[in-house]
Amino acid sequence: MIKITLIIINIVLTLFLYFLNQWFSTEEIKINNINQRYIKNTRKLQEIKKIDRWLVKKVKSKLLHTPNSIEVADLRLIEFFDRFATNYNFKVKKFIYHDKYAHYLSINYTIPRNNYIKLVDFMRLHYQDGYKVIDNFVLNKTTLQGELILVQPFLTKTKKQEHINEIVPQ
Amino acid sequence: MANFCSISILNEFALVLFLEEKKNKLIVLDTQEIELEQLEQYLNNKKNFYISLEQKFEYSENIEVPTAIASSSNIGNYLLYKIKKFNPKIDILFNFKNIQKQNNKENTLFNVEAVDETEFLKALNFVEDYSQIRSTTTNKFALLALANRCIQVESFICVHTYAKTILIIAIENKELIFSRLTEVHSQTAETIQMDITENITQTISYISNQFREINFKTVVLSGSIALDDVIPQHITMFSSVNIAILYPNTFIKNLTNEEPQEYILSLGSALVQKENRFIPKVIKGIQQFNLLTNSILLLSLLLLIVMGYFSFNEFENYEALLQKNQMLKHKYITAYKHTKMLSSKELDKYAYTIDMTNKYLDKTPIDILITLKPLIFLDKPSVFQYKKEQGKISFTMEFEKKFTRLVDLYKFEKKFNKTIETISKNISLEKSISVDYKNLLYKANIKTKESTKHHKRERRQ
Repeated sequence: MIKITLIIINIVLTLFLYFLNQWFSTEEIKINNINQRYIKNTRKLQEIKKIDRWLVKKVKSKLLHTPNSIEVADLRLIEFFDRFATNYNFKVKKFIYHDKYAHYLSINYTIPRNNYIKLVDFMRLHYQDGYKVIDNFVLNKTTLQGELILVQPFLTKTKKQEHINEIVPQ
Repeated sequence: MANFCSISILNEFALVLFLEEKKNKLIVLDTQEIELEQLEQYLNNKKNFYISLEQKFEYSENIEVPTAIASSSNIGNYLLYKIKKFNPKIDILFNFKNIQKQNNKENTLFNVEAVDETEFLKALNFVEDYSQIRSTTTNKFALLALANRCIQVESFICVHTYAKTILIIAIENKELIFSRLTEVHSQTAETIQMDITENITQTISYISNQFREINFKTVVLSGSIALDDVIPQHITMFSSVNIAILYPNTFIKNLTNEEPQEYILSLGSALVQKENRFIPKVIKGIQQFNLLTNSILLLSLLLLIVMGYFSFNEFENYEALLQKNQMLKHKYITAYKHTKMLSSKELDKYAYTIDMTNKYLDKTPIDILITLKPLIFLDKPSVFQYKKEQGKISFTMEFEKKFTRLVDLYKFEKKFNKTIETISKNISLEKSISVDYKNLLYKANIKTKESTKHHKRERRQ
């Protein structure tokens, strides 16, 4: 009787251990999955951290402050033109025009070649809250002539989500 | 080996030895001579019994079996049929063995030893738990076992007496070939001695006549007769045989002087070979059941250990995983706390700036201009033109230089070509060069093609 009892106890314990094994295996799979997710998410966070640092270091200072209205956008272009018109002999080539993403002002410029400082200043010139795109220039014996385009980004809210992948208007 | 009880039942008495086997020797732990009625109580809580009994019905015969009957079970059935034929009312428990030397072509001779199973089982009533029985046999086989262990003669007669009972067996090549159990009915000591002597000498004579081909020169005495001075002398006188005493002193410990003679059958019952044991079906069933339960118990224990081992391994893995999980969780939480999460509005703002910058500053003449710098420093171009047509950037440079010495022209030309060669590694150039050695005039027209991938990579760096 004792032996039979022992056999029953052994079998019950064996079965218990078998199911315990199964449970451990299932739990291990679950924990492994969770661990994989932790690893993946931690990597993502690290990537995000890197991107954040890069954004702060490289992009934050250049964040665009888009104007509130069309008038403000256009006025910024005009103000820039007026500020440097005398220095670089600005002439309007094409007055303010726009597409889905920005307002543009095409300007012709002429700078004497012998005025090196002015030439360097012109090259270094920045358009705040937008872009100065030198479209072309010709450096001949006396002057530097060419065309530049001022770009004033200006978007309506619905357009903001679209990815911009168009070439610069000519 | 565990301790065990070796018991022989003689008349209404039981001679019990409590033994332990060590290094092929039997160590006697306790001896007891008790009445059969008290035996059950004495054996209470004791284990492993080797028992030899006296049986009124003991059937010993040589029976021929046709050689056509081959399998052991069929031979057994045939022999049982033959025994039952002469003993129809007896429940037969029997052993049989082939007597090889008496074979002929048609029949095989078998020696059969049988007892009445019902009576045999009844005689074992003093055992409460049959599962403790390891061996049961009759006294003659107990005597045979001990005689075989102690006597190394090829053929001999063994006599054992206890009170008025005489057990005589004849042995040849360790096989029992004859046995007789008799009892003398005399009352006085003298007449008992005489009757025993007579009985023994007559039996010896009978055996010698019955087995003429075997020369029985030795008679081995044991039991009360071994301690007697007169009877052995008389036997020698009447039978002219050598007398020896069965004295198992070489493998028995703790029995001294005359003590072994009293327990000869008890000692023998511990040494009985398997083929000479009579195990009733009930006991055999219990033994088989015990064997089965022991095997299952062992198997289940083994399974339990194996599963325990695997479970422990799994548990260790699980624990390690849990620790890893905690570590990763902690790492994740730390990373989460230390990561500034930008709002979608802020991200949109960044993305917008990046997109716009890519769109409007992607194609800039600065990179090409830097590449062309060594050429411009070599000589100021008379015309330097930059154009952007359909998104493609191009530079055009015209050089015109007049020299007074040919050597200067030659050196300039080499230097110019070398510079162009270096620049060409980074950007594609279209060139048109003419050198007028007569007038010492150097003219060159250089035009860049669309900026290469190499430039784009450089910019990103």
